[in-house]
Amino acid sequence: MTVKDAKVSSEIGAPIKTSTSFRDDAIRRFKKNPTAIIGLIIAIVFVLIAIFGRYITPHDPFAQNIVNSHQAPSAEHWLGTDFFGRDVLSRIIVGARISLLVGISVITIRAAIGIPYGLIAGYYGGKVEMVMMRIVDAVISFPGIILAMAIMAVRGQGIENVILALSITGWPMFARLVRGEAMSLKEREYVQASRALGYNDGKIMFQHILPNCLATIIVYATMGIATPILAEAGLSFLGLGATAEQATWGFQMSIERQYLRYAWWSVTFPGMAVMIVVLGFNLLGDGLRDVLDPRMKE
Amino acid sequence: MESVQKPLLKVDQLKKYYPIKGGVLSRVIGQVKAVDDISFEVFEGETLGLVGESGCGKTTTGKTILRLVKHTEGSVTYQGKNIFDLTKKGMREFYKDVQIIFQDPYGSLNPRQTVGDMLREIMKFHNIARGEEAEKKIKELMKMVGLSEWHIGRYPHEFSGGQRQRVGIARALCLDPKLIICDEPVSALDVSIQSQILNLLKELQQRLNLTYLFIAHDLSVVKHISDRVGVMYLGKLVEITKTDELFEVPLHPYTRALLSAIPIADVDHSSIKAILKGDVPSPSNPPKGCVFHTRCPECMEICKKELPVMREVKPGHFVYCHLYNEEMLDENVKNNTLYNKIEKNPKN
Repeated sequence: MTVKDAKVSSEIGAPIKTSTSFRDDAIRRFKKNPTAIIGLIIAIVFVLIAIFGRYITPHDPFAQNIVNSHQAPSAEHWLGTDFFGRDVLSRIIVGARISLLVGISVITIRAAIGIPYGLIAGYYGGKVEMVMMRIVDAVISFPGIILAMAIMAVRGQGIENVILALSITGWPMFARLVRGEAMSLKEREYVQASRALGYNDGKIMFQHILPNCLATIIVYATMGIATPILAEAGLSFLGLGATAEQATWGFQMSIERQYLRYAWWSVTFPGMAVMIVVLGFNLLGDGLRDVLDPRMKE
Repeated sequence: MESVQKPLLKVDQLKKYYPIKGGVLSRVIGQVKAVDDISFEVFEGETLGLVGESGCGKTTTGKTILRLVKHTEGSVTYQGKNIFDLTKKGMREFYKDVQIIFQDPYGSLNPRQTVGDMLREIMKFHNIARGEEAEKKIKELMKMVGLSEWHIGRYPHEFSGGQRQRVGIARALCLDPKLIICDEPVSALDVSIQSQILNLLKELQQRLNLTYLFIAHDLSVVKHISDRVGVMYLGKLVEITKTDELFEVPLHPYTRALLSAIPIADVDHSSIKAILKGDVPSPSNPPKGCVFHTRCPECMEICKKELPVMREVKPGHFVYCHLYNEEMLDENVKNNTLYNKIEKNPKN
C-alpha cells in the first residue's frame, strides 16, 4: 500500500484532489468512525490497567478481612467486597493482567496456527485437505476442557500452561473458518490470474487469498477473546490455572458464583469487565475491518 | 499473417475429463468429457478464434493450455517443449510468454490491490523492473491500454467494466508475452465497450506482434478479430479453417447451423435456417459415434457407430465429419461438387 503520488494531470476527467495513500486514507476513515474510536479507547484503557494495575488499586487486592465479607458497594468499596472481604474493584484491576494476557495471547496463538493451516487445507484441497481436516475434526471432537486438563496434568500449573492448553484446543475453529474462505476464494479469477503469472503457492495463499479473508478473521478473533478468559476461569476453578495468590476475572467469578443470590456484586462486576473488554475489542475489530477494506474507501 | 508461419503453440490430442463422484465412498462413477481429444496449432502472429456454445469446452481448453486446469491426456507444445513436462522454473518462464485475459472483469482483479501494486508485484516477481524503471513501465502500460496515469493508484472497484478489462489487459501485457489467451474478454461488456476493447486488442497485436487464442461464443466478434476460427461442439473441435473460408464455405453441419443463426439485417434476405433439433447432449454421456449425430441433419448410418476423423478437406481447412471421409471426399473433389452438393442437399 505505497501508492503516494498519483499525480493530478491536466487531463479531462482527472480527479480534482490528489488521491492519498491507502494508509493515510485508512487513518482518516478510522478517525471518522466513532464506534471504532470507542473500541480503541476501551482496548487501550484495559491494556493500561493490565500493565499498571498493581499501582492504581484503591485497596490491597489480596488483603483478606473476613469481618468485611460481602460488603455491598459503598463509598469505601465502590464495587463491594468478596467472600474474603477483599475489594472487588482492586481484584478486577489486578486481574486484568492475567485475563487480558490469556485472552489476547490465546487468540493470537490460535490464529497463528489455524490461519496457515486452514489456508493450506483450503487452497490445496483434495487429499491434503481430507487428511488435514480430519485432524481438525479429531481435535474438535475431543472435549476441550479434558484435553486442557491432560495438558495441564503433564505440564503443571501456571498461566503459560493455561495459554498453551487453551491454544491447542481452540485453533481448529480458525482453521475451519479460513479453509472455507480459501476454498471459495481460490476459484476466483484473480487467484487464477495469479497462478497464470507464475506466482508460487505460498505467495498466492498469503498475499492474495489471506488479505481477502481478513474481514472474517478479524470479526471472529475479536468475538473470540471472551472464550479463553472464561475457560481460564474453568481451569482455575479446577485448581489448574491461576493459583490462589493470583487474581483473574474468571477465577473471581467462579468462586463467587455461589454467593450470587445475596452478594451479586462480587460476581457481576468481574463479568461486566469481561463483557466490556469483549465489546471494546469487537468495536475495534469492526472498525478495523471497514478501514482495511479498500472498497469502503471514499 | 498466413499459414506459411511456424506454429507457436501446438495442442495435440488434448483431453480433459472431470470425474463425477457419487455413492457412499465418493467413487468415480463417470466422467464429464469437457475437452475430448482436440488438436490444433496456433501460428505466430495470428488470431485463432475458438467458438462454440456454452459448455462446449472452449474455456477449459484455454485454461488447460495454461495449466490452470490439470489435463487428463495429450500434450501442449510451446517452442518445442511439452509444457506438461515443465518444472516450476520452466513454468515461470512459460507464463512470461503466455498470458491470459479473463472473461469477468469484476472477478479477475484482486479487490485489495491497486493497479500499480499489482503491476509492480508482477515485475518484481519476474525480475523485470524495479523502482523508477518499473514506474516508467507502468505508465507506458497504462497509456498502451488507454488508461491514464492517475488510474495507477486506484482499486479495481473504482473502475467501470470496460476499464477493468483494460487493467486486465495491462496485467497480461506486463510480462511482454508472445501469446495471449483471451477467454471471452468482451462477452461481459456492453456492446459499445466491446468494440473498443476489440479494437484495442487488434491494435496491440499489430504493435507488439502478439498472437491470440481468442475464445468467444459471439460469432460476429470472432469474425471481426480472427484470422482462423475453430468451432467446438461438446468437447470436440469440429472444424477449423481461415475465417473467410469458414464464413463463406462452412463444411461441418454444425458450423452451418451455427452460421445460419446469425441474424442478417436485410428484410429481403430469406435464408433457410438450419435449425437444430433438441438440446446439446450431456458431456458426461456423449452419444456414441460422432457426438453431433443426434442433432445432425445429414446424419448417416456410419455416424451413429464410428467416430469421424479430422481431415484436411482443402489446404488448411480441417473438418471432423463423416461427410468428408475418404470415399466421399474423393468423389466430391473429383466432381468438384463438394460445396454444391451440400448446398443442394434436400434435407437442409
